[in-house]
Amino acid sequence: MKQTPELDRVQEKMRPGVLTLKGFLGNDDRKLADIIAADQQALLRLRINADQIAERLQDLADRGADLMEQEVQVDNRYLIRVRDDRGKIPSPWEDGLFEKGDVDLVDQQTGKALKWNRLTLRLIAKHRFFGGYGSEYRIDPDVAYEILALKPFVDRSPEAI
Amino acid sequence: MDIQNVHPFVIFFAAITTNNILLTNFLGMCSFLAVSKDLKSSLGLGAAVIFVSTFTAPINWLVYHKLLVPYELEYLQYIAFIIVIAAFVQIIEMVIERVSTLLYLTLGIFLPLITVNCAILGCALFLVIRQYTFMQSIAYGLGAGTGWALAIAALAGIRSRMEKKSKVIPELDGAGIALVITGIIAMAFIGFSGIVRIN
Amino acid sequence: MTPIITAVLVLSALSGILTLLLLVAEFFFANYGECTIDVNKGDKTYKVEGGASLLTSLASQKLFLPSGCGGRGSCGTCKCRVLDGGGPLLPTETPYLNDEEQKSDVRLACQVKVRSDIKIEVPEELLSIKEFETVIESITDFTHDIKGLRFKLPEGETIKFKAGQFANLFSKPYEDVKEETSRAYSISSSPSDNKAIELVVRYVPNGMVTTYVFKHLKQGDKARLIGPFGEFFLRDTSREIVCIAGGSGLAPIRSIVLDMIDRGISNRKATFFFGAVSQRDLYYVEEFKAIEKEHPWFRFVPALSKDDSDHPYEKGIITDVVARNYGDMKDLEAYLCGSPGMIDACCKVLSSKGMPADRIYYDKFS
Repeated sequence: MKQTPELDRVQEKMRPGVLTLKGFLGNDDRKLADIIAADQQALLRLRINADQIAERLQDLADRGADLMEQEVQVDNRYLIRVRDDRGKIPSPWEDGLFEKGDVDLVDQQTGKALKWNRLTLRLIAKHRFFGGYGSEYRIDPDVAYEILALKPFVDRSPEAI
Repeated sequence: MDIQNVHPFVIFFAAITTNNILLTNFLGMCSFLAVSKDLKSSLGLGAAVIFVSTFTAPINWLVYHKLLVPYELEYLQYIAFIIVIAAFVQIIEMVIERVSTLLYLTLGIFLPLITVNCAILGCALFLVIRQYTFMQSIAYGLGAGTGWALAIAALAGIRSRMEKKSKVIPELDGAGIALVITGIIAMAFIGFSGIVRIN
Repeated sequence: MTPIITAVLVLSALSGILTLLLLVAEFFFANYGECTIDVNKGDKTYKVEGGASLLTSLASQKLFLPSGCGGRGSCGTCKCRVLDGGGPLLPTETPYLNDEEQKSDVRLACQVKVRSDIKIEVPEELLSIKEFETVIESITDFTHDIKGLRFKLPEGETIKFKAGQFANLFSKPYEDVKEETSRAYSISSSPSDNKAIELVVRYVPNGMVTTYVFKHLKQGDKARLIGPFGEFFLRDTSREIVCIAGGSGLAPIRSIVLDMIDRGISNRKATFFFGAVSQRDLYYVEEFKAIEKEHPWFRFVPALSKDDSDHPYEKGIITDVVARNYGDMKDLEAYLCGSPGMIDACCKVLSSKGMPADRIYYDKFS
């Protein structure tokens, strides 16, 4: 995948202080195209896909939601706290506004943690962007595979048969 | 016959018919294809092109013969012509915006794009190559612009009628069919050949 | 050497002459002179330099029409009536205007150019939207993640707002944030207290403006505010009121209650349910208790969802507490302010108790 001028613009918006305080890239200084490509490789190796991760995280967020924003235990394994903040945040791809509110998940079996919100989930599902290294919102495919109990994805589309 | 002796009037008609800058030289095609969907905006753009070419042709003639030739700077003709054209397009943009906002918005990006309309630059270069006199260059500028406007108006008229009546196969719809029509109009214009001759 | 110099000189001379020509043309064609914008039949008149769009001309005079796209003609929110001097309706506007609007001279302010004297009509509320360079009078810690800020307006200026509306607070550039950024916060003070306004801010992790408020803003600092905005305010009826809020959502409800006291509205019963997790999340309790004691029409009901210690408040989730306090709610009206999830949950409970949806008012800041 090539770093297009469009991706340059998107990457510019992902820097700290433009759309969010800490940005989307952490301490990652790779090109956005390389970040996306590297994670795509990891998904192929793990035989899972981005939609699976996004759907699973959305499902966990739905079940972990609490009106008073208290921690909820889900599946006897995860401790989830869903914040619900007022206001909306735009996507760096300029394709929508997303309600704020971070989801914090701790896997009690491994002690590993994930953090996401409506916007970062959308970036995974639509743009295959999982966050830069060092970003607290990074959903590392390997970590996701390890703690989300994902099954290898079987492609049933006509092209794959 | 020596070109200098041809009456400017003849040059004017030749530029519209036998030497139509669009239909015989195929210059200025991009805006020709893009703005020819309806008659009104194509007439507006045509008027803008007439205005720009009529004024830039004599000015470019003066710039070339009175400024570049005496200083032996003929090699600068492209850049000098473009500067003159760019300045004139700026002025006409101001005028159109003042007079008719509607036309200004319809023309949109194509108004500033006249700057890089090859018909205008081609017009300036032809009058150098063909060694027109000052009066002839005015007539040629007016004629070339009018010819271009006539061609775009013809195409727009045909296209707006076709939109209502004809069924074009999707692969050819848009620019494709416009090019085919342009070819046919160009062939029709061959019928003018022999009436006047200027080169 | 000489040919190069002559070449440069000749080209420069040519460009110079053309520039001069352009300047002359600009003077004649692009100069519209001073134009007068008449707002709401003489309510306000502005004198502006002609040539810019109506939207930006008005903004330069601090009259802010709502605009989502910043004047590119792609959102259609900057509608206003142009009674005279707006020129013909443009093709860039028609997609955003229905037949009725087109007939009554509604236009998009970002597409209309001010070329001559112009008469327009805008909603009354917009005239009270102003920009203020304020000074922070005080910052109060309400809970571990909620602060109250009081902004003093410049000498001689006042703000006119309806209780329940919000204002936009701007952060100055700090750390990685290179540009001024603004976010909406509800006003918690009473409209009669019009030489200052108070906002309640809840800390949002990684929030650009809340981080600024919590980590950088100090008493005595300058801060820029624009407001008031919003359709969330007390409606003029005689129905009994139920207010439900959580967290920083207390702000507009406090403003509404203080406003009712100031305006002497005592014929409407009002109950304020404030949902929190434990006692450490409560604030302004003393003030509401005092109001309750003095004004028999008002009742303050804090509800704690997860506090088993001995306290005088209701126990349980806010929606359950509301549900068990009322039977039929079809003759009441409700004012909600809180997180989107809380508002959705409350709407469900209120509807199930028979309250019509058009009498449930809330502000999601969307």
